[in-house]
Amino acid sequence: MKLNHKEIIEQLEQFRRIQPRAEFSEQSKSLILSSPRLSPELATPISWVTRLQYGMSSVLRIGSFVSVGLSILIISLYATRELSPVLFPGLSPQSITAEAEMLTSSMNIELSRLGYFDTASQESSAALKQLSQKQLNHLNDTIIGSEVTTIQKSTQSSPDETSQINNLINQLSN
Amino acid sequence: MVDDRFTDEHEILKRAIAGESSAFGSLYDIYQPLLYRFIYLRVSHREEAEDLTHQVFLSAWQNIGSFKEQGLPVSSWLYQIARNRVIDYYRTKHVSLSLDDTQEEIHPSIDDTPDSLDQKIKLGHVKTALRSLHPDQQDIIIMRFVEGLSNAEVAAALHKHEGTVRVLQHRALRNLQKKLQKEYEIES
Repeated sequence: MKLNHKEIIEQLEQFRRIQPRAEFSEQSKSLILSSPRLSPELATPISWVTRLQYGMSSVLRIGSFVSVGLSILIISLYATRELSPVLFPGLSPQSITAEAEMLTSSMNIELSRLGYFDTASQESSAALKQLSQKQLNHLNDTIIGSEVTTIQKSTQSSPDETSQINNLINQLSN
Repeated sequence: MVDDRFTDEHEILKRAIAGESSAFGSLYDIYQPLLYRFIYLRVSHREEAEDLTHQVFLSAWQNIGSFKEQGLPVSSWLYQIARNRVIDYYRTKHVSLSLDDTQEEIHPSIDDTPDSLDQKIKLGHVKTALRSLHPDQQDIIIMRFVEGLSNAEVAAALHKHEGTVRVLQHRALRNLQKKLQKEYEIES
């Protein structure tokens, strides 16, 4: 069986009887009409193009800021590393080494001073300890006075002995 | 039913663009059965066709504010949306067309009619042959001969020249004839 074009078209026209379900149509329509519409600014293709352009320009703006920042950073790093001896003499390796040596020597001085303070503090603490234990009798004025008297008494000699000694000295000197 | 006040589609469209929901409701009443039919014949599944039709009109309602007439009927714009939805449907759902589905139903609204069995079988063959065509050829056949759109409307919906549509339409009919011949040969 072979259909010609006219017969095929007649058969195709039979499909016009295809209809959506009435319940579906009603439900779909009410749902659609109750949904919000997009504003023309958002829906217009031109506005999307404009938004895209705006977005692109924002990206370009941000990109240019970033590239400028990076350039400044790179240049300053280069200047610090390569040009510092010329532009900043204080940053030359020789001056830095000298400054470091100076710092080391001053640190050594400080260390020796710290050593002295440490020794002094140890001695002070020992003296304080002695004081607290009442072992400093030799520094007591009364004791010292009595000791002086005792010594004077024990070393005291008679006038005869003194004249004899003087004679002996004179004889020896002659 | 379309309100008597809205006799001129152009007037209805203008009011719909202005945001009048009743005007868009009238457009819906006019074009929804056509768009549903077009989509159903392309996807051959009632629920999917209903879902896609709903999406088409929802999209149309949301975007009608940006619709520019430019001398084209609103039907062309709606068919453009529908075509894109069908393309997305096949792309995202990876639906494969089977040529073995000769036993599929035509549509409940035709199956339930007192047509002769012979007529129903014939329609089933036509539907199967139609679905085996290239999607562009299916679109042209459905728009021109099922929906009854003019060449100008089809051209506008497909973004093609009218002359191109005529040529494509002729090729599509010839292919459909070949496919139908094959169908009948398989059956006999």
